[in-house]
Amino acid sequence: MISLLFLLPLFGFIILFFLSQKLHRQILTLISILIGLFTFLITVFLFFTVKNSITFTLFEWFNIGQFSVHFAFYVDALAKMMMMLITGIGFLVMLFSVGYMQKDNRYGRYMAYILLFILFMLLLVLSNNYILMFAGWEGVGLSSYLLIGFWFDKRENVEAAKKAFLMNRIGDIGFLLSVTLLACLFGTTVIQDVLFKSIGLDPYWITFITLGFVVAAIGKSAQLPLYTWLPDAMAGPTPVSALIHAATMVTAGVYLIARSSTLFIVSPFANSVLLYIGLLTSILAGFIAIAQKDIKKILAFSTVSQLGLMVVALGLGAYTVALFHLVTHAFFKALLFLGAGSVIHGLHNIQDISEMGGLAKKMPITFWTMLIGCFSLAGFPPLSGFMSKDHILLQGLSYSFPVFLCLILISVLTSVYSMRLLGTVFGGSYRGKAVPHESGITFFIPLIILAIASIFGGFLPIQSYLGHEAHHSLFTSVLLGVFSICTVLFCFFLFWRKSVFQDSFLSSLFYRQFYINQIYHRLFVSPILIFSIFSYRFIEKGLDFILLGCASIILSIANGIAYIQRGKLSVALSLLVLGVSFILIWVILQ
Amino acid sequence: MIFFLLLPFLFSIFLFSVPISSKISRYLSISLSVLLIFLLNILATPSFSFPWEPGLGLNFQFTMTPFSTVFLQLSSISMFLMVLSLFPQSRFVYGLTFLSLGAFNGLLMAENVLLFYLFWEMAIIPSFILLMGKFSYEADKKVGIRFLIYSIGGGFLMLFVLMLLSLKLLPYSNFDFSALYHLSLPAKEQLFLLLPLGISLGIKLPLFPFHRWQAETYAASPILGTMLLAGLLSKMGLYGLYKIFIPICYQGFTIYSSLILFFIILGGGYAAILSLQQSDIKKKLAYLSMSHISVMAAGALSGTFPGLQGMVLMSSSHIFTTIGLLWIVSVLKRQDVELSAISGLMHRNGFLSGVSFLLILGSIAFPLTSGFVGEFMILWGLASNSILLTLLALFFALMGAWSLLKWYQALFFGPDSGHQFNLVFSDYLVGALFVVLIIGIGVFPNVILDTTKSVMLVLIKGSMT
Repeated sequence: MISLLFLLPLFGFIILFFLSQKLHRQILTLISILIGLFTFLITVFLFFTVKNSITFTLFEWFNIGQFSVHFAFYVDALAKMMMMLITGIGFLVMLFSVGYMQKDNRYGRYMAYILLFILFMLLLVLSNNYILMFAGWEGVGLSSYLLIGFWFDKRENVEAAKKAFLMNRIGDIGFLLSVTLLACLFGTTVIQDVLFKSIGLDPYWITFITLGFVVAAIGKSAQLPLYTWLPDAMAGPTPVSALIHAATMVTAGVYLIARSSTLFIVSPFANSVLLYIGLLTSILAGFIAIAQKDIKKILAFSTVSQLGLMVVALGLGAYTVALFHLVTHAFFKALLFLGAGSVIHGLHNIQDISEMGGLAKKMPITFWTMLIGCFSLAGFPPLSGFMSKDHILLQGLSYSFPVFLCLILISVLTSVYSMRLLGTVFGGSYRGKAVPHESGITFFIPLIILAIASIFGGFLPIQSYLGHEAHHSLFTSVLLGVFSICTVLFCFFLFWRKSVFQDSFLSSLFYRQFYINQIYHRLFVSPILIFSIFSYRFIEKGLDFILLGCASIILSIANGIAYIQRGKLSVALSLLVLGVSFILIWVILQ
Repeated sequence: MIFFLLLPFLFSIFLFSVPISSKISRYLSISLSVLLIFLLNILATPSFSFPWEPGLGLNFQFTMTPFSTVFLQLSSISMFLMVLSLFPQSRFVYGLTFLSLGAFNGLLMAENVLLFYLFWEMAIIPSFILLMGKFSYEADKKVGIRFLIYSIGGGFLMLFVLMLLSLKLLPYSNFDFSALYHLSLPAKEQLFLLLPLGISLGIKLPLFPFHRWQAETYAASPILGTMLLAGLLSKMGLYGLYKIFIPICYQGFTIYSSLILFFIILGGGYAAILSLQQSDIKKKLAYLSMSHISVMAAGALSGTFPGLQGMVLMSSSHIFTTIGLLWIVSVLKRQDVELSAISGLMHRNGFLSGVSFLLILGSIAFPLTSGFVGEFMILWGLASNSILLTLLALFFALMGAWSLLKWYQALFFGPDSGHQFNLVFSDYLVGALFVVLIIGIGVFPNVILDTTKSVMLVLIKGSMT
């Protein structure tokens, strides 16, 4: 059954990839939707039939002496939850794409890449060892690369794709370093064995390994300082942003750390690194999101900020809380991205929110679902976003008060940017030129399902399912709920009627993302490129010069000897005299 | 097994002497390489010897070790791919290529110091003639002469070392490697051999700072010559490490091992960064190849089991990715256009762009493609020396990935420039074979690893104690 879970998307990928130009569009749709659906159904089947944690082993990948790596899959509660999320949202996104990508002539390829992504993402969450997990980890990066650069005739899309791929690979350096260390120290990379053996080991090395994983998570989950690829990744088709850059792939970093939680418990240092990186990223991205004008960029920075919250929860040691937020975030952020896709589709590819407004009446279903998404994101009780964020806030409160204040700041920022988005797009009057129209039925089904999930997702018993539930006082929860209601409603009425596009120093600083992209370029990219040219012009030529120097020394010696041999009588005679006198002197001295 | 030596030689003599058309000689070459691929599985006798100079006890001694089995197979497959992937060339070109292949095969099997040196020198000469055969540009001649000087210089140093070692063996010497391995020189004497042997192998591999012959030679050679040099002959240096360097002077090497390993990795990184801004694709591939070879050499010199096995696996992957990428270049050069004028090839050339992307993935060690497992093993081998080496190697691998992606995106992505490259049947076959090889080695690397496992364990036991 589990191999079918991989074979099905693989099979679909191969068919769609090679026959995308040959087959009729409707057949392509049928194949991709059926495969998406069946993958989901298999997952549901596994979800209900596999009771305990089970390892499935297929065959050996490679071995180094005693050390061997298998194609083996480990199914437990965490893996099952992730599987449901991936295939479920994957299926909805494929359904949405049927309408969204309708006019694209590389439709088959697009569906093939989505299936490839689902395949690798399943590999990532199911593999029982870190090396196979790395294969999935890189694989999702690859599919993300292919999908960001899907419209490859535009250079900026391609650049964004390359940036995403390479920045992810910076994070991968950390991953591979840790895996290498694990192989050296433990002699195994099977996750459960590693976690079992880690208990007695020197915490010094554990800290090293966990820090490597932190770097990997920073790259994949777009945290400081490696977050800049995610906003650029919005160059891809919008359903892709919903699936890959909001719901699933970017949460792989959170998954990795939650999976290795036993290692992290031993290493307090790595935990505090996580905590502060998460806080900083979340606040920074929150501020940037407030000033963005592109609807997808707002959502992208919001994703960075929410991922920061999950990382904070990980840093606080509340792994199940982080995963709870991962799930609810997947629901409402996928909903928001798909809603944004519906808006963009309805406005004929306009993404600038200053050209929108008043769409509530023109696109009612999109509006109501987006409303649910935005309220959930902003943490309006009892929607799913509130339920999970509430837990993170309470964890922060029990850790320290400054952290709690930072978290409050983050949730206020979240309310501001989400209500600004809602107000400027749907409230007020229409400012654009294109004629908006409501989207079709394939758009609504995913939107409505995700909206329902965003409303009730908070009541899923995810924490107890994963085996650990934290209990907090009801009083503080209620207090936080009231606070959330007040901020969200305040922001809602603030932005609903009048849209704010002020140009001040601060807002332009936020809009330009603190110039971090430019700083990175000056600091890291340019020096390497300059060194590359410099070394070709000078170091390589210098090496040539040394070789030529040796050659010219030999040449001059040769010239000297040639001079003697030219047959000039005077030279010969003087050499003769010189030689004879030399011999005489030598004899006399003897 | 002597067929691996004789058949290529006889075939090249045949090609030199009998005037046949280039098309027929291409077909004959293809059939011979197919024959060689299958011969290995049918006629695998472990060793072969006949007397050469009985007075000295000297024999033509050839032995088939697991290591050479792997590489004989790889050399035959890559020969097949090389000939198949290019349009017909003159019979002399094929003759020279097979001469080189014969010498390479001979080197892999030579169990005798004199034979080893003979083939070591012989393998390079055909590439030199191929390079000089163009005679068209004055600049190319300079490149050819530089290539020759470097090669001969390295060769003489190798001869010097081999002579020193053989003198040690006199008067009982039959110049066999097995006798050489029993010498077990004291570490001080090994140290003395380190410099000439190191420079000789450093030129052949090449390693920084002895690499200056490489980029220009790759760029100036005809494409078959570049494939031969980059794909096959660059493995000679690695074989030299395995055959001579590690068994004979590893003890001396360990005194400076961490320093030299750092130097090699840094040199590889330097090459990777250099490749970033190369506009000539063959130069770019040359520098990238140098950076990969440096990593492999470092893996072998780490003196660990994973490092050595990783070297074998990564070099098998490197053979195919390099030849594959050069094949792509040759396809692009079939039309008389500047590569800088091409963009958006993916619009019209789906097959070509797909295969080249996979080749690039193999080259940047993407998991489940051929490069990954080998690189991971080498990283592990390096980590047992110093974790910093692993970190540096990973960082420089990133540079290599950047460089290749930059090239790929410039050509295959972007607005459509309207170029269409018509592929023939053999192109589709070659492309499909590359896909099978790259994914096959990536998913089933055990096929290679299991073969060389025993011999690497013996090597480690022998040289480390």
